[in-house]
Amino acid sequence: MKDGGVVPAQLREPMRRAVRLEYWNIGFTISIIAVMGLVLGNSQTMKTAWVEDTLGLIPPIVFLVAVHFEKKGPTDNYPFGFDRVHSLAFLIAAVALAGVGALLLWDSVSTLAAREHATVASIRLFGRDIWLGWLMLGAQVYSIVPPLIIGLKEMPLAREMQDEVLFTDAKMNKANWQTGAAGLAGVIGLGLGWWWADSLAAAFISVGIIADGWRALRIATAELADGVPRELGSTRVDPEAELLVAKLEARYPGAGIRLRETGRYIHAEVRGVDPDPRQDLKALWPGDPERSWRLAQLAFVPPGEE
Amino acid sequence: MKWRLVLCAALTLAACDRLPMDPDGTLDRVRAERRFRVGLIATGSAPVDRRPEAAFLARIARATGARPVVKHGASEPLLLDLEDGGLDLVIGPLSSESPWVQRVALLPSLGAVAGAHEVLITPIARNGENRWIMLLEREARAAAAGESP
Repeated sequence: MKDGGVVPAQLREPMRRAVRLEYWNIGFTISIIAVMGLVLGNSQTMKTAWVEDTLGLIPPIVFLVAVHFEKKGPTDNYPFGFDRVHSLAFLIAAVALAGVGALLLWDSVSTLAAREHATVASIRLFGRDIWLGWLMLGAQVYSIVPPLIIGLKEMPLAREMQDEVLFTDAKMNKANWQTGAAGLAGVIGLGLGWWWADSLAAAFISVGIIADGWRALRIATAELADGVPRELGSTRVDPEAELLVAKLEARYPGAGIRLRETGRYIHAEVRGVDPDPRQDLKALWPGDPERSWRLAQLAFVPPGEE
Repeated sequence: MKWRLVLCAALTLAACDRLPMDPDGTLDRVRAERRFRVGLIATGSAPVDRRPEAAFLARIARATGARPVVKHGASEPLLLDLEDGGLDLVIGPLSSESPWVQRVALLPSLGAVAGAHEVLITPIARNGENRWIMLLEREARAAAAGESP
């Protein structure tokens, strides 16, 4: 149960793990940006991958900011607390994810249309001339491993905490490792003289990333516009919310039931009945009792006031 | 089992040696035809030491077993010819602010043209012909450093 802006007890441990994971995420992403920056060369695909890795910093940063505010209680100027900062962070992360997909698609299509033949030159290292492509391949392999592992670790935490920002970051990590894999294929393709290989692979991958970004944008908009709570990572109505509506309708026949989502929490409004003082939000939660913290508030609107 | 691993490693290394390849097969063609087509950009009245250029071309000829077929001209037509595949290499001064910088591959410079502003004599190749470019880069670095062939 949530109390005055303090994080519910069930969320404290997973949130601590998620915060630690995001610090690792930021550290690895910065190291990837540095390594990729060293071997960019003239490859447009490498430059795009580098920009994407930089954009990949946005979701973990906004997650950490949102968690920082979520832990604060209400203040005089913010009497409802900062739960909605999480919704705002989600919108920012969704825009970043959609932006990465759009950038990748634009870059690949324009490269294909212009029939650009990328030059990947050589550098002299320890007295030997080495094709820069080999270093790019090494950098790409390095850029694949951390987001693959971190993204897999984020997904169960996102589900446990009903955290759309973390979920979107997991998708961003998926986008990053897939782009890295496309870049790997692209550099090998360039080496084989197939100038179109990387752009084609990147264009295919960008479609999935744009779809994920667009879906995240729709959910974030629904959340900010007080829409019905949505299932994690989906535009479908949350089944737990549907069960709650059914339970409230059964308890207050004829009343209008409204639910909205603020960050990870659900706020319920029962309209057309007098306030019922005997409330136990935990007992009212119709789903898994371990997730009863999701119901943060139950409000009543008396008859004639709705 | 061990010999399979050794075979795999040997095949991978052999494949590594094949990369990069040229999309239009420039280096293979140069070796097959035993000639490469070079455009030399006119430098106007500026005094130019042509010895690094000559040493560079001699190094390429030695590395490929091909002889240079030289054509002189202004930068614009030569670079257009290079872009269209009519030339394999252009050598001459090219400002780093030239719009051509994005359209062609600039290689390590061979030296500078004397004058008020330093302009580098640069070998220029067609974008994307990476194996050919790699050979040119190796020879340009060696020529600029004055290494003996």
